[in-house]
Amino acid sequence: MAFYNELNKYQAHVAAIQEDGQSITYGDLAEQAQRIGETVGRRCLVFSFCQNTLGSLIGYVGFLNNRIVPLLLDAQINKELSENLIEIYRPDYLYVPADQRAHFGMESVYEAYGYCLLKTGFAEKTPLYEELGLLLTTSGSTGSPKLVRQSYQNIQANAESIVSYLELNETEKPVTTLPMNYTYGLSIINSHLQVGATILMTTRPILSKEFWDFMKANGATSFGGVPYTYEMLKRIRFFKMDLPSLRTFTQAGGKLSPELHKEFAEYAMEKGKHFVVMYGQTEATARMAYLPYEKALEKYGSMGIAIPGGKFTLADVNGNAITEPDVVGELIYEGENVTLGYATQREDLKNGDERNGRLETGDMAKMDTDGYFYIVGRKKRFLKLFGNRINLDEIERMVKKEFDGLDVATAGTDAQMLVFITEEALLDNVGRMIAERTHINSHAIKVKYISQIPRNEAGKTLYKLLPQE
Amino acid sequence: MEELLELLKEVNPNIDYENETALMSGKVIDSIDMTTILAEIEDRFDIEIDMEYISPKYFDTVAAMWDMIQELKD
Repeated sequence: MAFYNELNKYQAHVAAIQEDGQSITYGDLAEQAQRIGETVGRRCLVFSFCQNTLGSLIGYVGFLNNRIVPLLLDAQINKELSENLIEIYRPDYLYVPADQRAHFGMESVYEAYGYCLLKTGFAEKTPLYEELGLLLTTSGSTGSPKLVRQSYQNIQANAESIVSYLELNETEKPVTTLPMNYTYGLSIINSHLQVGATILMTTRPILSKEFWDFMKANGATSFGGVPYTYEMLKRIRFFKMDLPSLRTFTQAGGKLSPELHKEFAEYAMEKGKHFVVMYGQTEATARMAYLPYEKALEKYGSMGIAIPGGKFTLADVNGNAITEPDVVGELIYEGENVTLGYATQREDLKNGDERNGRLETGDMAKMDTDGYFYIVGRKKRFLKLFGNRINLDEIERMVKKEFDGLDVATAGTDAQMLVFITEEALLDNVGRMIAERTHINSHAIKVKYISQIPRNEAGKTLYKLLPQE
Repeated sequence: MEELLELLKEVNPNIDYENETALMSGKVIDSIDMTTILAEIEDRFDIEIDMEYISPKYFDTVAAMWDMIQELKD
């Protein structure tokens, strides 16, 4: 049975504590879930505006428990972007922090723990595929309408697999460091609810005294971080901190530099803690691979092996399987956590499984002689800036829409996005617009002037001819 | 204080440091800028900023940052 249907199993155990000290037991979580079910009363679509608080968690669990399909969005999402998504998908309800209620001006039908459920009044009749459990954005910060469709089975299979390889139990107390609408952050919540653990929920940034005070006061046992989190941790002298309750720290959301991987692995080994580097994508629910903590130092730079229940293969340009070690090919994953497919419009929510358990990841990788995998590059046009996946084509569309007639081409690395435009006078305006819309730090966005975007005869952009920096 | 203001503007010129009173608590400075600001202040003023100082009390205004720098230099 799925974790969101078995909340009563852990009854009096505390499911989550938030930073003001308020907590909720599994029994109370089940009760709130029932209230949500009774209020909504049918299978429908909800947009849930998430933050790491109890109210947000109650909504998420309540929706899954009642087979109501939520699209998880950041509560701080640019309002123009969320309104565009509302127009495209026509949800029946919005689940929002109570202090944002006035913005939407809709009738509230449920209120608890600082959240309210608003009725939109849309009379959308397009059915939802019966196994569709959850929707996540592919690139939340650009407000793209392209969503990943996750099934109930995907969510449960991935949660169970994570529990198994991280050896989680009810004594765990993970502290939230990532948004819950982000697949990595959500996977931490799912896998810990599965075992009856206590989630420490905070909206404070990891780079603040208040975060560490909360973590220490509540005896946090684990946290997760994207590569940039680990760069920050090093900067704030994490290695010198006294964190006796901390057992495990995990990393995903992009490739950690081998040097940093090694440094944190050495620290973990010395302190008797577990450092687990992982690999995943929203398209695979969350996790696909992990590097067992015992191998963290020996195999630093590697993203490890497939999670329990999953399988990797490498394919050459013709799609043939690569069997020899150290040969680069596209990483293909198979497992129960491979999601149903994408949606770009409301109609797509009635579609069934389009992947049948097989995902072409778009990442280029190689395998060593011991069977450990290493990511070496990317086939698709996206970047991971501070852990946020940025679809370069979507940025181009965003700029073109905002600046009529301006020609643009995007490129870059996971450290910096390069935006080439053909009007020098607009350099600052374009940079500011992208930073404001995407909430990506402006240092990671470099807008450069180019007299002409290189294209072939068919008008296709020749990205390889763009300057490298 | 001019030196500090100059440093902050180098990190992110789009922030109104003179008038903002919730630079950290209002998330006007994000964690990426914060990391750079910490490193720059430590380098420029030759101090070490421990975690106990990374709080709105010391980072919500430029004046508070300046007072913290003076305190750590002593």
